[in-house]
Amino acid sequence: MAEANYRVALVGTPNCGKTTLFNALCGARQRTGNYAGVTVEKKSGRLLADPNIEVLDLPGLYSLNAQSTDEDITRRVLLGLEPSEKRPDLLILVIDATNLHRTLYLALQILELGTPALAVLTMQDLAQRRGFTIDTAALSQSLGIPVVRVVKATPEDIVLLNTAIKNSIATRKNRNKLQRSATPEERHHKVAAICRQAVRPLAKSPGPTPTLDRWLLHRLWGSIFFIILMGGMFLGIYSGARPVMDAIESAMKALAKLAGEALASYPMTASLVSDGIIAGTGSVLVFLPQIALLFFFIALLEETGYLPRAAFLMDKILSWSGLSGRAFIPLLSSFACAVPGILSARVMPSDRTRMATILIAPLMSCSARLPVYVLFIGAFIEPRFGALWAGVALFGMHLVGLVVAMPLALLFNRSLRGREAPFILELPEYHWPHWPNVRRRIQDAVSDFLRRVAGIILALSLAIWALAYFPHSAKTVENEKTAFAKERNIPITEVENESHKTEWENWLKSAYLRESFLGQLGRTIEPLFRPLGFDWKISVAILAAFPAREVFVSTLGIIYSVSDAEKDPQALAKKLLAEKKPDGSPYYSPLLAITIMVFFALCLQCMSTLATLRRELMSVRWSITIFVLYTTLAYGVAFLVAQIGSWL
Amino acid sequence: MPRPNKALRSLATLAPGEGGTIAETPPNLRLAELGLIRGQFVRVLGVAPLGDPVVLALLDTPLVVRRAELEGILIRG
Repeated sequence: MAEANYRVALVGTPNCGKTTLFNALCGARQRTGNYAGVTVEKKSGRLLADPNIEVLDLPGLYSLNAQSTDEDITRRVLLGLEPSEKRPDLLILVIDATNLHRTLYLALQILELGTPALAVLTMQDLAQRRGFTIDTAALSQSLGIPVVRVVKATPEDIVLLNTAIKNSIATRKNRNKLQRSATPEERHHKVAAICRQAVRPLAKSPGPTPTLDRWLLHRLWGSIFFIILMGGMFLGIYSGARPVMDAIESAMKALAKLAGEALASYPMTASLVSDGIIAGTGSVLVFLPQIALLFFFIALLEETGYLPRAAFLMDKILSWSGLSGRAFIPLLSSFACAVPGILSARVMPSDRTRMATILIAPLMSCSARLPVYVLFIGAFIEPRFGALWAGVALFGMHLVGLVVAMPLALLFNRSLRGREAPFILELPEYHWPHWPNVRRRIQDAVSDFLRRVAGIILALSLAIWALAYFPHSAKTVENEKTAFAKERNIPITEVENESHKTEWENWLKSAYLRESFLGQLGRTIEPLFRPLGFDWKISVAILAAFPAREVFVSTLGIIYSVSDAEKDPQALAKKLLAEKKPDGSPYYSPLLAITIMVFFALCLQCMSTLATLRRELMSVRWSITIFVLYTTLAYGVAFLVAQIGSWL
Repeated sequence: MPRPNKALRSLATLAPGEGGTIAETPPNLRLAELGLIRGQFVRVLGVAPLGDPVVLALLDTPLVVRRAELEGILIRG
């Protein structure tokens, strides 16, 4: 796009209606990015009414005395100190009618700088519900700049705002440099004077918010409502996304099968297309339902005004580890999947706690770990100790990550650099969601994930495919035919007959995997895993699961020649139970099962999470550090479990 | 104007429903900018389930603040 002639910036406090205005002004002509070197999201777009005008949606702030990285970016852009960003030609100061005093405080502070500006008064409808209205003419006179009233971003109001923007640019006036206030007190007194002139009381009615808050912030009822709401949201993401994810998975499987058959005469290309490209694409697409649903719920919580209230209720529980109530949503979401969980940390102002939250998110037990728990608990805990202990074990596995994560969060918070804003929240008026904002939030999250993360996931899928496929020598077939015939007691010529077809194909797949570079690697590093009690089969499955942990069960299935191990964990469980040590005793014990599960609970076996970490923290170094740290941690704790368990 | 010290109470220790005018506040730029300045009326609206943070009725929009941040703010009334 050509360089814009004019640059307009939206400035306001958090929750002042800035985003609604930005979406209405720019529509689809917007993009998101990052400010150089920091994780602060940069939103910019072109004015729908005039593509020559660029609109910048600056991070919300309470004051130019910045206390967090977000606020500092806005301050630097406004003062022309940000190297990657030209100083805006015109500022649009967003004044929230329901939060008039604080938004005017910021407006005065900015007007003291002398940049040309106009003001937009939002939320007037909610102010009337609360029993007062604001005289825009009086406000305009006090501030010395035009004031446009915009209610719910209706097209008529936006037309007026567009005209005001163009007029301001054309006349290059509205530069009303206010006299500097020496202290916050002095500025507050000026604001109070303006409020006295501009606020017109209507009736004595406080509106619904105080009544709602009496219940929703109540120590008992508020907590109960919160738990039900979060439980419902988690179940909604967990089970609501499931059918779509299953549909994507089976569609991808069908597509892979189709491609495999079409390319049957070129076995390598067939495998590349079906096991590499199509499976890799599937592993990207499968995240979309969860991301979309999570951001739908987050948008609802944000739009209605409940989100800061949730942070208020949860703050104490998280504060001891240096996190704040705002970390709750990202951490809860990570129990479904760390990828949307990490993305949702954007609800936190960018600072140390946001980074600490992102770093511990992969330790929350995500739904991809569940099949591993189900397999091993079902095979080794439930038959021997009963359903109750199976339940306890499953719950315990979900706690392992959390127990390790909280002290780590404390450590990260102590050692990370970056500025920490004091934990201060405003509780805005409750209101109905503005649906275009909800839609935009989901759209942004999904397209951002596809654009920035999908490529890396796909590339890594192909790399792992190659490791698991090559060398794929023809000699394997001959050798395995002999072995298979001997095992089944049939003549070699009958191996490929219809009656043995599936078994033979699984047998061959297993052999290919064993002899692939990945299989060789698994056997090479087997000594490394031996202290944990893992044999080469588990080692190979663990290696294969590093790109995505859900692969573990199906890889074990291939190794043990069970077709479709995910669909039928019982069949695989039987094979595992039948596995013997050289001395004839069973190889798998409940202790080994627990060791494997603990390893899984802590290990960062998910390249999608790593790719998302890299994107959100803007740091390759941190992603590698975290990967190494959690792998070491998983190994260390699994080792302790194996050793302590063997003494008991 | 004489200031009887016994009438002053710490904002951090007020129970929900209690409030008054801020008489003294230590230098805290952020809190001052959000409206916790001398002469401002403030009331405790509620307390989180585990006792911290608190919600203050202050200016037009309630403010959530941790008790530790309110250390040293004295209220008359």
